Amino acid sequence: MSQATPVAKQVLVLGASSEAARAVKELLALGYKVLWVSGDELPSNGLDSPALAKYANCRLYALEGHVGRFVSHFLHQGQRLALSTSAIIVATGNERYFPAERYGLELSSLVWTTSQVKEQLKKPLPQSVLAFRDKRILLLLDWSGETSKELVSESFSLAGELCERCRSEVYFFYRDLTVDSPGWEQRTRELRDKGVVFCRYGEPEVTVGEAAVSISYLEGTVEGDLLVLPEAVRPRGDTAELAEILQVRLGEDGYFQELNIRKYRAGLSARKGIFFAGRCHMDCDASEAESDALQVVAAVDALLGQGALEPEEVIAYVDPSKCIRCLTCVRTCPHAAVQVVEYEDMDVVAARVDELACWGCGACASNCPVQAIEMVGQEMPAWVQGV
Amino acid sequence: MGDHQKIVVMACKHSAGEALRELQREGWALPDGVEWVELPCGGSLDELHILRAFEAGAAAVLVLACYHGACRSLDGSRWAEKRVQAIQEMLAEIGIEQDRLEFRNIAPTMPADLASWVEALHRRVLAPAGE
Amino acid sequence: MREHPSVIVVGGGIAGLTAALNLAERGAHVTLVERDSVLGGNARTVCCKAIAGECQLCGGCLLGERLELIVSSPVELLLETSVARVERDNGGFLVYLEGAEKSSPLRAQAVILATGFDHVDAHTKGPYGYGILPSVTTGEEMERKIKEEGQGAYDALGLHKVAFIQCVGSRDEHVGRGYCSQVCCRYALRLARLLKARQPELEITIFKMDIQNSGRDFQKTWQAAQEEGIRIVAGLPAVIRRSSEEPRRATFVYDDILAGQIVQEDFDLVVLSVGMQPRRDAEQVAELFGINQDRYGFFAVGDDLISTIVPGVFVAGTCQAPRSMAEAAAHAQQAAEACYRYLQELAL
Repeated sequence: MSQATPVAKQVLVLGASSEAARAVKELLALGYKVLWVSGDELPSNGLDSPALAKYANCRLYALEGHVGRFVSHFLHQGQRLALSTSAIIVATGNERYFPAERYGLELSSLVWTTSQVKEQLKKPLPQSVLAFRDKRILLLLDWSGETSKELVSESFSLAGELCERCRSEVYFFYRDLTVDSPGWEQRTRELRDKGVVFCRYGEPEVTVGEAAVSISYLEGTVEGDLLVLPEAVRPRGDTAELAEILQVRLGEDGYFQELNIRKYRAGLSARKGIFFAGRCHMDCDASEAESDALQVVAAVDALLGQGALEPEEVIAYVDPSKCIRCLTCVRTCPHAAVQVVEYEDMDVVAARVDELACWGCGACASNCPVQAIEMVGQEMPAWVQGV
Repeated sequence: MGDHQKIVVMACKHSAGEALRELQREGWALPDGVEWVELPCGGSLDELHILRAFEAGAAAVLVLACYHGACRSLDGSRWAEKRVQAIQEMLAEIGIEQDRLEFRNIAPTMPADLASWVEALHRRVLAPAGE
Repeated sequence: MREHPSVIVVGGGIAGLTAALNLAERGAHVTLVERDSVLGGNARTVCCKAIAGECQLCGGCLLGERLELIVSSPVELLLETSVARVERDNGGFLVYLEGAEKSSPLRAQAVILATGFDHVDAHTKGPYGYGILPSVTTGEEMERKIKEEGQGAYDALGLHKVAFIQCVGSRDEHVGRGYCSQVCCRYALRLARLLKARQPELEITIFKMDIQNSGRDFQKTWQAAQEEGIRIVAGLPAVIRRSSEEPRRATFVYDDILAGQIVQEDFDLVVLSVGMQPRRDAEQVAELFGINQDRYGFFAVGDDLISTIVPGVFVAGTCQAPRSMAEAAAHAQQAAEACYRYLQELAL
């Protein structure tokens, strides 16, 4: 059938997250040219290479082409910018917020978020430590049954830091203790050894007083100097817009990638050549997100590393002379592999399936009202043609 | 039309196909008279395919596609189910028994179910005539 | 990598297959060594838990496609083969094999160990009566039975009340397994939903320590299970006994922590949600390759959860820590990436 199409080892990485940075670093090490683009500032973490072009504060407004020949259009400092790459890794991360409604509590001098505590601990000594010195801190997790692994992981780290650096007395309240990541049970044991008290609550009652906070739970009431509440994560505000431009679907929960077991952990989108890495599609902490970026880079290199792409064994082919340009195939293709184009040699405008982007699923063929699409390479019994 | 001597199974290769190959590795074989038509995805199933199968003498047609949410082309299994429903309504209108056309979701990890469905259909549709 | 470096992958389960396929696609010469006569490992007995036409995202079906891909890939498969001896050879490895075909040693620049896990043996939890009481089974057995007999394997057994007991042999430092096995909450909830969907009258209770409800997909499963009437109780029984009224049933006393009550209840079927432990040959394999084991016996790794103390020896999947199938596959792909980078640096 078709011959292999040469492709450049050039990848677009979208996002300013730590997993994006990890993907960039890994791609560079594998000899890729990398275009690193974000709608925000990019981290300045010493990633510099002649093979890396960085564009911060950039907005993607259109994507053309398919795997092997994507052209991304950006607005960058008032200028239009078109970048060609063979593949795209989306690693835009997630968004933090404080779920005040869910908690039913306002932030105050006695009620802090985990991020506020982290910021305070980053301040210079002694003020960083003095804020928590010898205080009793009540860390309350899992209030409404919503667990984000990223925040659980951060709460573990914070509890340990408060014990060690500030000699705080930390009470860790939870409903279900999340330990389903390698090494996490060990982390909780180490925290216990450091003096963190773990308390399982049923329905905790929180009271914020003038100078103290208290939590009443199954086993009694604990008073403390400070209540610390983890924030929550949600999909970034621009996720839906980005998904529309990339022509990929979101899950019901608004994160990138429909929850399909064959694609989910593998970071595959329904579109060939577009991958998701880290917290834009997974519930995980920062280090797991970076590991995810590595396995996505392994998948990208398996696709592009040999310098050429070949079509699937079965692919759809549109007969342009039969096509009535009804766009049914464009709409039904789950892989965004069909477009209406001008066939210059035949002087017609008709649908065309990109042979590298096609997965060969046949949804276009079975939906075509005029049978203009044929599945090339698919063996069917003779009776399918009619007796 | 035809002699009603066969059953046609139209099966997605990613689920039913993998289950069949697991059965075959264990020594199981499709009963005589069962014609296996492998599709690249449930989504490629055409209503015409089903009608042509009956036209070509199928006593029954079994359509097998992935569970919804596990189709690698996202909507393929839903397309397949819709197509089967449409034909079932059509069969009802022209007075053909609807149970001659079956749709089932299947996973690659369901070889036991695949074998029992095919054998049951075979007993129901082909075996009485053969006895 | 133009020189086609050689890699040996030990173990043909989901992790070994994934690592081998990725490296082969990237031009490495891969030999996959599997001690069994078939590929697939523990994943072969994982059943489908889809209900009402919908996939429950358990990942059991990830094996099939890999089994098909590996056969058409350039990966050299050595079945019924195990590693007998390993020598260092010019910065690489000389691996002597024992088994069906190869007698001459294989030369490789790197090795990926993907030797998998063993299910915790429920017999070791004596007071739960596994092997003695007919109504006590394990999650592993339930998966296997459904895989072998079909989705309806439990339909006609006349069950009314079923209990799942979580953390059997997991999160228990006293038995040397002070870790969470990652998969038991997920499979128990999914199996419970499968049973409940097929037999709506069935009363199902899950006895848990902490439900592991992380992951985008799992939140949905957890909520759905409760909406469907699956009862979840915080509290584990200490002893399971034969019911005095009905000897085929099991009975136990549990402390319902959240309700503050001590309750005795009978069940027709008690499913022990057994976790994972290091494979019985982990010590032997670690010794062969000169790597360490962690305090529980899994292969010890650096911060990347992939590299061992021996340069060129990487680990993938459940031989490093308990993981679900999808997570084992993702971890194996990370191992492949680390291995590929190592080979690349070796070539320079």
